[in-house]
Amino acid sequence: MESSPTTRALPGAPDDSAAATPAPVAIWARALCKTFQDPERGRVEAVREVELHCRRGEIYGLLGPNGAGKTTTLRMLSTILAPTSGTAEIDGVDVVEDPLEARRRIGFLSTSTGLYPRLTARETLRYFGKLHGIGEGPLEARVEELVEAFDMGAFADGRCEAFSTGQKQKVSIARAVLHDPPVLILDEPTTGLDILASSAMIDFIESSRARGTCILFSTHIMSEAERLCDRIGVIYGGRLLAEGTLAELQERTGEAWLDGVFKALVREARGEEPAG
Amino acid sequence: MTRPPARAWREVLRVELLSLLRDHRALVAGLLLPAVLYPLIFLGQGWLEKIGEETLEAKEVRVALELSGAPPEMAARLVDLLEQRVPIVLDELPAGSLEELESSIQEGTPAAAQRERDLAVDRMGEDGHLLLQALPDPDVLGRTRFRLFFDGADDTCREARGRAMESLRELQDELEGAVFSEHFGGDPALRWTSESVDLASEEDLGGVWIGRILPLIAVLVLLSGASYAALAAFAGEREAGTLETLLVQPVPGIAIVWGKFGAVFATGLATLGLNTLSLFACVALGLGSLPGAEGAGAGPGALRILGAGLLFLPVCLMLSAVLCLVCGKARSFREGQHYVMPLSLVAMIPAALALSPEVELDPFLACLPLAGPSLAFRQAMVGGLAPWPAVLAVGSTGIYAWLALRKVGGLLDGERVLAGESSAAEDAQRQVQSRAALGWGWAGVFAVYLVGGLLQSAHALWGLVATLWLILPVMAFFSARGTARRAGESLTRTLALRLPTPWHLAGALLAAPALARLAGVWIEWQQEVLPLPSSMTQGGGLPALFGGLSGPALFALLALSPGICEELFFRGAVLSGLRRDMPRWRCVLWSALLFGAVHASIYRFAPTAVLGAGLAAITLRARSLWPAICLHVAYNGVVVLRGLAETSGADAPLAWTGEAWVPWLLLPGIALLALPGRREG
Repeated sequence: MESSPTTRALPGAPDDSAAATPAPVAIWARALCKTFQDPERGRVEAVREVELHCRRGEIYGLLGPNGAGKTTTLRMLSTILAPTSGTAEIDGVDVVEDPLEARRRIGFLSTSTGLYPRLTARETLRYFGKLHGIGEGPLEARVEELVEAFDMGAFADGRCEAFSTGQKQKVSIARAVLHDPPVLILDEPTTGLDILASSAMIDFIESSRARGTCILFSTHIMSEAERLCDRIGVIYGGRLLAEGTLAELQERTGEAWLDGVFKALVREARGEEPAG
Repeated sequence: MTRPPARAWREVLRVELLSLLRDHRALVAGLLLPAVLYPLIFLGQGWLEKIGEETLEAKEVRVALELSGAPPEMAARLVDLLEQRVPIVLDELPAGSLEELESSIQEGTPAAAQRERDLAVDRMGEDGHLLLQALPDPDVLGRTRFRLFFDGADDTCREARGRAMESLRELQDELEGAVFSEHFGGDPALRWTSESVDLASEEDLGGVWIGRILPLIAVLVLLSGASYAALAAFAGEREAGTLETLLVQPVPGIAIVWGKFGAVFATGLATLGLNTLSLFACVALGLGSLPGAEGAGAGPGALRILGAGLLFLPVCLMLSAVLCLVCGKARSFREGQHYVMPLSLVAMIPAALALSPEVELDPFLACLPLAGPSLAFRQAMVGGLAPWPAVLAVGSTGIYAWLALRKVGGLLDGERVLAGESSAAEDAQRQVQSRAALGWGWAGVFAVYLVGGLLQSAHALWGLVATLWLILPVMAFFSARGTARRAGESLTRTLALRLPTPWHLAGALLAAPALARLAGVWIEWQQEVLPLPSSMTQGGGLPALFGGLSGPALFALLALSPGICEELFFRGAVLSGLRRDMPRWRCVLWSALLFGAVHASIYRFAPTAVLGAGLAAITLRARSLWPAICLHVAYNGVVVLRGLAETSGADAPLAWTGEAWVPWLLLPGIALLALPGRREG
């Protein structure tokens, strides 16, 4: 490798020279497109020319309604789906050219993520640790560390089928960070969770940022995005309408609240007049 | 195929097996049921037989005797013999007590017959079961005639009659033997005696039955055990939401697939092994005996079983791969079950060929999936395995397994796994129509089997009329009404009873005689592979069965009626429900399977299934049921009228359908049928 994947200059990436000590870019996508052939609807452009980047220690929120293209974008970045066109890199690794290496650098979690009902929490962690190629000794140490960190000692040897929503969520998060990934991709991580579990997830996201992890997450909950995100990308109809800090988006649209920002951007995309 | 990283696929395999071992349903389907199947069958069958025999044998029967008409020695000996068949109570009636009964019998009028019954019951006694009367035979001087009065509707009365008849037969043998010995020193009519010497070894004898029955059972057991593992490994994981997590692990998809396939294969193998072991354990422990080899010991030896079992190893590989393919396409456990059921039914057909002694293993059958190994297994079990066909059977199955495995390798492509993704609620909503349609389809098939079969066995003509004009239309109505209500449309729209285009009707009329000819060619070819039983080849078929009917009546019964009623049900009601949430190819396949199944004959399955598929494709293309009805009526009409002409020897009214150019009519027929139908209004 000619240069370290985390420090090399990326074509089209933001100019870091002005910043004092800019954190390296960990997620970078350029002109990302995804087209599906749907038997009923014909050709569907799920994602169109999406460009985004996210640095280590930063939380980037992808905000949009259902069907906007959030999940498809995250799935392309996490290598589950191949982009129709465009490129993306995770921690300097091209997701199309070397998907396995990219996956080693990603912790992926979504609301629909399930657990193996007949495995215990410990067995689940060991299973995914082995799939990541972690050796026996380090794996055992890491599993114990996570069991302690997520306070799973009381149920770590019980089968996942008997867990509460909160317990399942803890195991899922532990599974996602088991290999200590520099990038976390979270697809609507709080959808369907109760208030306690949702709050725990938000705490986890904030603590991950504090550890220098790059976090890209999708949501349609405005308050969550306002509280957590360093930068927000508004996606609608497969297009990234705008991105920036909350203040930048407020300034651009003249709206005080994020839901107003979102509506204004959607109106703009539709070519409608601003609301009076 | 790329070689998957060993550590990863072993780990996936380990976790899959661990999950299966902890799953009660998997243990029951994969291990418990195959293991206890034979003990249950043998023990249950033996127990039922024993109970039945013991119940009747233990039952006391009461017999009233009036033997004054027989010579005293004969009567005394008969009483002795009867008394040996305990528990029995004999009530000897005074001589002459049946004179009134005798005069009623002689009278022979209906009123006398009724009186005869009343008198016999009266003399038999309230708790009596049989009245045995001896009287001199009026036809032959010096011979005694025995009359047995009993109630044929009563099991105990029939048992009493059986014991009396056994005693009479024994008495006859004794008397006959005594006469022959006294006058001729033996039976003078006896010109020869015979003695059969069976050269087959005990092992061969046991192998005959096992070789025939085991391939079919093995395929079914393998499918039932391995299908649960495949459903859990693919469809179940997709439903549980763990598949997406697996796809973001730094492991090639092929390693995951191999691990899962390994679990399915291991489960299938374990199921098969346990089931076979259980069969031989039952025979060895004396729980039951193999038909045709009673008293022949434990049947085939371990070496022969092992050798024959190896022939089934590629079958296990192939079926496991096919199950993975099928279940990998399913979005949920339930959807996977819908795929597995027809697969099991289809797999039974080639495996069942081993049941038929007339079917021999030849190079063609050796290459037919499941048929080749089944027939080779049968040969191996009787110790007569022909090497080359066996190599061909194993080799071709190995190739099919390899082809299926290649497909399995690409099963977890993220695009495909996630392409048809939708919420569970949407799925449930979407599958309501097709699930209901399939339910009605199978209900129709079994209604025709059971109710239709019963009606037709009572009266062939009116039974068939009732099956076609009552069962099928009623089921079509209720099935279509449900579909129409759910879809919020009219019944005629659901049944696709809209006006057809003229070109579709013309296409149907052109294709029908060609298809009828091709079906005849198929049957001739099939006759070489799967010979029809003589009961089907002799007797002139259905037209001969309704020999009293005129040509037009036969046409109405065997062409017009099935053409209308079967199409209303299969292509109208059922297909209409299926097409709501299934791709067209699956609708066509289901239609073929149901239509083949309803004809309830392994010999007619292929041509009727192909016809069913064609009729479904035409209905979907034409968006109208009428072209299918038209083709069905014309097709059956050609077959019936030609069959009628052949059996009667008269000139066929459709003699031109035998011309060499007729099959070519299929080409313009298909071209017309392929044209688009009328737009939905």
